Amino acid sequence: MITLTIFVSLLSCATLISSFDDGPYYDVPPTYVWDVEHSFEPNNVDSFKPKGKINVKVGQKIHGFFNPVDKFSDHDMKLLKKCADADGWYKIRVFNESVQVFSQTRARLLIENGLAEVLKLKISNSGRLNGVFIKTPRSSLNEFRTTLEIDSSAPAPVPDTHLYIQKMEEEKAQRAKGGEKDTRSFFSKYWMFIVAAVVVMMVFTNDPNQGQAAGGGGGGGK
Amino acid sequence: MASALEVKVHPLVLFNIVDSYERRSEDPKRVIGTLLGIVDKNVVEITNCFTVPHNESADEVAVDIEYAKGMFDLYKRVTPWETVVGWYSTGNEVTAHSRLIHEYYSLECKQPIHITVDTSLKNNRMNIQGYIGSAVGISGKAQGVIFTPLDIDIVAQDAERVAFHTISQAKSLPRKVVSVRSDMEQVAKASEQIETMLEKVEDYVDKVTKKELEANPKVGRSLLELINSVPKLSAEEFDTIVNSNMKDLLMVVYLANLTKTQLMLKEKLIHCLYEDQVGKFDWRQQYIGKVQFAAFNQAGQFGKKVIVGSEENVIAALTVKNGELSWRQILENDDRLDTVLHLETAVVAISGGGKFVRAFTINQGFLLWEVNLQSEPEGTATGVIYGGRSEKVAVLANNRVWSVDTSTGRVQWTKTLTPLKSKFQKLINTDSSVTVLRIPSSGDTDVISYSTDGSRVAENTIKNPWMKTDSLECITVTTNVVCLESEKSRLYLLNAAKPHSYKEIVLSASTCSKNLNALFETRESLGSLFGFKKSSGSGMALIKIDGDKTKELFYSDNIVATSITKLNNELIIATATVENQEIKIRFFEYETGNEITSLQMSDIWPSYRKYPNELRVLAFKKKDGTTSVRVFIISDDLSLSMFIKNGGITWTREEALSNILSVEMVDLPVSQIQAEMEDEFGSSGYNLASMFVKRLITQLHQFGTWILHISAKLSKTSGSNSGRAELINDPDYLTRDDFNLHKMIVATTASMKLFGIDNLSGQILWQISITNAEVFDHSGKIALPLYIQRTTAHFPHPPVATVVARHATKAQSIFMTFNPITGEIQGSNDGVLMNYVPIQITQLQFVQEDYIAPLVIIDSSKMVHVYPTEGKNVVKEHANNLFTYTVDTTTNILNGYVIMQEDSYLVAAPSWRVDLMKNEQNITNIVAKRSIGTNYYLRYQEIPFSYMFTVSFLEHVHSQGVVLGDRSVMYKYLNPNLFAVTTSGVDQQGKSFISVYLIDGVTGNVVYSTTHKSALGPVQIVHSENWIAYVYYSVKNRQKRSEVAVVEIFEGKEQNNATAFSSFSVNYQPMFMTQAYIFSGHVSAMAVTVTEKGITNKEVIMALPTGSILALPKMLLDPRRPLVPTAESQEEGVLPYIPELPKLFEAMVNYNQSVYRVKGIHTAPAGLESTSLVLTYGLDLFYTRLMPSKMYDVLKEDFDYFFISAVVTGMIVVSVVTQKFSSRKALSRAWK
Repeated sequence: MITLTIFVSLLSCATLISSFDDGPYYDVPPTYVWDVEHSFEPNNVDSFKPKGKINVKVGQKIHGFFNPVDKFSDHDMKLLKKCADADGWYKIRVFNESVQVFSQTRARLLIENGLAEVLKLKISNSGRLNGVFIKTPRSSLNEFRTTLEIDSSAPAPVPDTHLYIQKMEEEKAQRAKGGEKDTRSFFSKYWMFIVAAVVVMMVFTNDPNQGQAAGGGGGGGK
Repeated sequence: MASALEVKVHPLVLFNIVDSYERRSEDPKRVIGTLLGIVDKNVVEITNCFTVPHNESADEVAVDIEYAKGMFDLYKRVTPWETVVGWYSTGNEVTAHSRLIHEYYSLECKQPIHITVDTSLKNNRMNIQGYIGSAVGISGKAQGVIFTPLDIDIVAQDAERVAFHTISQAKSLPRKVVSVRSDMEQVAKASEQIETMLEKVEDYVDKVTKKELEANPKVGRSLLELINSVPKLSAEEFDTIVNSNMKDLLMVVYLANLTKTQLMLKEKLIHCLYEDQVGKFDWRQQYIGKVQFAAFNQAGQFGKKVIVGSEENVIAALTVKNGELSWRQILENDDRLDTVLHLETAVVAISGGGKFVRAFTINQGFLLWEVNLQSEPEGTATGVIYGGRSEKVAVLANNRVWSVDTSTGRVQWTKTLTPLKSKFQKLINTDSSVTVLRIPSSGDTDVISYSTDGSRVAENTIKNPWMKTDSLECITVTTNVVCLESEKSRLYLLNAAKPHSYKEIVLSASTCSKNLNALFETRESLGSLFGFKKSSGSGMALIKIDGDKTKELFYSDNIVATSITKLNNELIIATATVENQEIKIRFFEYETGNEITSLQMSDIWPSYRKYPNELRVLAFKKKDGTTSVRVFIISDDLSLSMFIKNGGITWTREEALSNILSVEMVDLPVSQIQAEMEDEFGSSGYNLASMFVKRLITQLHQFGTWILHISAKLSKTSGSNSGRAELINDPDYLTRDDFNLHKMIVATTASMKLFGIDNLSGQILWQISITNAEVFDHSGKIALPLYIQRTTAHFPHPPVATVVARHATKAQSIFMTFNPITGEIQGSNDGVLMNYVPIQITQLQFVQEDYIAPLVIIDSSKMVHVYPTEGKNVVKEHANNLFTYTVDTTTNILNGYVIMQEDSYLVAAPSWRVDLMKNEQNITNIVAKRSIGTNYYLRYQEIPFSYMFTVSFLEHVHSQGVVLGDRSVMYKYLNPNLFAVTTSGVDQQGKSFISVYLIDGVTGNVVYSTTHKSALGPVQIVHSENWIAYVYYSVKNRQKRSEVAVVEIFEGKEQNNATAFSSFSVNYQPMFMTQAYIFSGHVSAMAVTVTEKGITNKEVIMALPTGSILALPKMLLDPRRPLVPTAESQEEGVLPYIPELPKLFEAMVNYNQSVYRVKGIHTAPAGLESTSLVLTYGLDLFYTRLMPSKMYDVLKEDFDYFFISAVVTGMIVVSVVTQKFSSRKALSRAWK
């Protein structure tokens, strides 16, 4: 999964972002626009206010940027603090006419972590919006800022047969090469192992019960 | 006549004769014996012989006739087709005694052959001469026998010839030893021979052409013939033919060798369980499913059987004696069994709407034949046996009729019927013909009859409206069709043999007043009897068809099922009634309707059995003149019982267990001694003195119980062979054992029955039926969730379990609370009715004061309920911190909720939404992991919107990270709120795909998602700790194969929050490690082992459709397996990457105990950390213990306690003694 992020302060706007290996190919990349609204009421009654718009271009790469519509006013700030004191929820919803997704986080967390906010959008390979998640990374700016992070499907794992066969063939070739060099007889090459094996056998054949050990100690937590 | 006789002797016979001559005892000069063989018209083929001891003196001959008879009987057993054809003797002449012996043999067979074999080798030849004896004398009185010589041919079968050649080779060898040549040597030798022969021919031809030798026209002709017989081929062509033949041969040899090796390997590996351990830790139970067809069969040579066919497309034979499966055939899963027909020696099964018609032998269940009638069937098929003695099977499906010969399975004829408005739906055996009927509720009724050769015998159309009704319910009663019209006041009767004599019968007022509204057909097709019953409960009138009239035999309010059978060529009717937990079977005469009181029988019928649904009766007179009756009962709870006169119900099969929906393994309560001990610690508020007194009292009490216990044990061991049944009656049996290996399996089934099963023996200890309830059904996925609300750990509070079901008719739900150990229901037997239908049920991890973990239920109007209601306070306490979610598979929208308190109400406020785009894909699986305790969420239990998971205990994760080879730690991403969703769909290019999503249930954060292109479901997925593993079917690039993908999630080298995980503060990007493996074979269910503390390695358990259960170490599914092993990976013990997962035979945990159609696997921890208990369920049940890391926490059985304690005591003694010495030495040194 390749995700790139960029910080976008509420005042400015910027582009970004993600590319993935096997996304669909489009001649003209479709563009999606979603409205973003937020709500942070101490009494938990939703009252969503426009926050901005997200534009996303879906092509070989997914580009997206966040367009804020309004400043975060002092009044809003007070409301957010009030909400945090009541252990209320800071909600975000992203929608257009065909889809609506939303998520929430604790207002307290947002304030404690310095008001930085990352909107993680989950976008399907066909460019549809699946979900949103609010991250609150720790920041020391103490100033409201929103960042966009676009996340699409990870490449699916496939059995690595090609590499494995390649490796096997290399090994075979190496063995063939190695085989030519070493022309000693079997016994002259491995006499020490054979002697060791014989000694071990002689030691162990004395006790016939030794063979049926039930195999202990394989544990080890992971 | 005699001269026309042809005698063929096999070399084996001659060898036998020579051998017996060589081994004769000193005394007799010759050996005689019996010749065995086959007589076919004028050909006598002698295939075997044996010596008969005899004694000859000058004037008499004595033959051991008893011996000859005995030997012949023995030979008869081995080769039943051989008969006595004559006798032989050694020597070259027919002696005077021969006549006497010949006379004896002419009693044994019609025209005995006599053969003499000259073992004295006169003229250096072993002369073989045959004779046939014919009596001579004056008419009416035979005086003697003339032995007429016969010519004898020596014939040999291929095998004999080869053996003979091999043996004859030894003749010239000094040691007379020869070994059988291998195939290749044979070929080489034969080629060599051909070569020499060719050389000879060449030499001859050369000589002839050079005129050195005179041409022999005979040789020339045969040479020409030879050359003509070889097709003209170019050398290369010939080469290729020979080579390809050779290749084929080599391939066969290779494959044969491979199979042999495989078998040898299997033999070695499969015995990794010691033979005496088989069945010790595991058990299997085989089931049939919901039985639809049943009939007694007495013809089988291995005792009486009941042949049954079930809704699950399974055919089986049950032995009448004990109800065990005599044989079972599991047919296709996706087809339904339409009809089962019973022939004399075979069972014919029609399944899949006439897709397959198969015949199985009754004795063994072997497939006799199979025929595919139509590949794309529609609707159901009906079948009937017709044709009188010639027994043919007629099948009607989708407006076509087939006639199948029952001995060969050949389709004799097919007729396509004109498809008018409605289908032909009835098929009736009318003696030597078969009749099809179309009875639409409006329109003409058509009746067509065909004879056995397929010719149309009769065709009748009965003009509408002979019936005045809108809807019809029709049954077949022998050759009659009886229809009931919708107002239930009139019956219509039509005899298929005489269709124009149709009749309308207005039911009498007394019949109408009984509220009877359904017809009941007896399946035996004996007598023209049918039942007319209430659609539910009991009450049935029995009605007899007499010509074109009907006669009500009798009516009873209690009858629930009826059947008809033959006893001494008289028909008798059996009825079943159930009252006050007692079942009564009563018998009535068919002709008069009078009761036969002598046959009446009754037994206890527990209420959980509900009502008997169908009966099959077998009645016969025993040798002593008494009547024996066997009644096979199919009940509403799917159980099958055998009721024997004077024996009561001898066995019962619980077929409900073939469809288990949820399983829990519940700990047994601790024994009384231990419980009292814990009671002592648990109580508080006593002062010191009273505590002391109490302690003394309990210890005295404990001592007393201990003494009792010991004495009971001693008396039991003296009685020694106490079976398991006795054990279960023992009150101490259902107590926890040392390692908590003994548990109670609680299972809910689709037939609304709950079972308590002993996990050690597999015995059913209790059962409960829920009435008026049904399972939650959401687009074919059914569920009956089970929650363990209080475990056994809270003595003296009994354990509590709850099952939630839907009300059968109303928009309500039923909560049934019971004790999972004893099966006692709390409160009413009908459960608690709630006025809502849950869409989501979650079991809380927090407990109320009485240790009950309440259920939190969200209903369809998003209201929050708590069960039991006292649990509300606990929920309120944690409000705003409890989260849950629902998955709507019809819209693919996932909604998260937070439970909040508004005034005094609890509400589920939406907290997140994820939209998985219904127009692109369908949700196929939702799997949460067995959760780990944190305070932030509810455990997820889903009801109809998706699936249900039963999560009832916490999975412990022992280690927070993985220690890498370089001694650094990679921390696992242990998000307890994570759940996996799999979807399947078709993309814009028309290729199918499957997707996997990992979603956080608290925030709706899609943590991970991936899409496998060109892949198909069904996807099986396991989700545990920090990983998921799933199986899908890949169709990429023509490589069609199953693949297993693994995703492991790590936080990285630093841990974010070591103490508690919060879904809201996940601000880092977790690492995803993925890998895929090829798996040879499909997987029908998947699970992962769990252990008490999570220290033991895990195994992924896969049930394969072939019947095996495979336990793969999780280590093999590690995504970090490196292609090229490095020193670090070796240090850590990660296996090198191999794309294919091994399917080891020793990993098949059910060895030869195959289980089919596995739907789920339940794993539970035992008290022993190394052990995980596994129950697989589906059509069959299989229970076993798994020890993924072997039994590392148990001492071996042969552990030498004495030695160890001796060493320890020795050490202590030595250390005490040496201490003394050393202190003395130190003292003396100090004085110096």
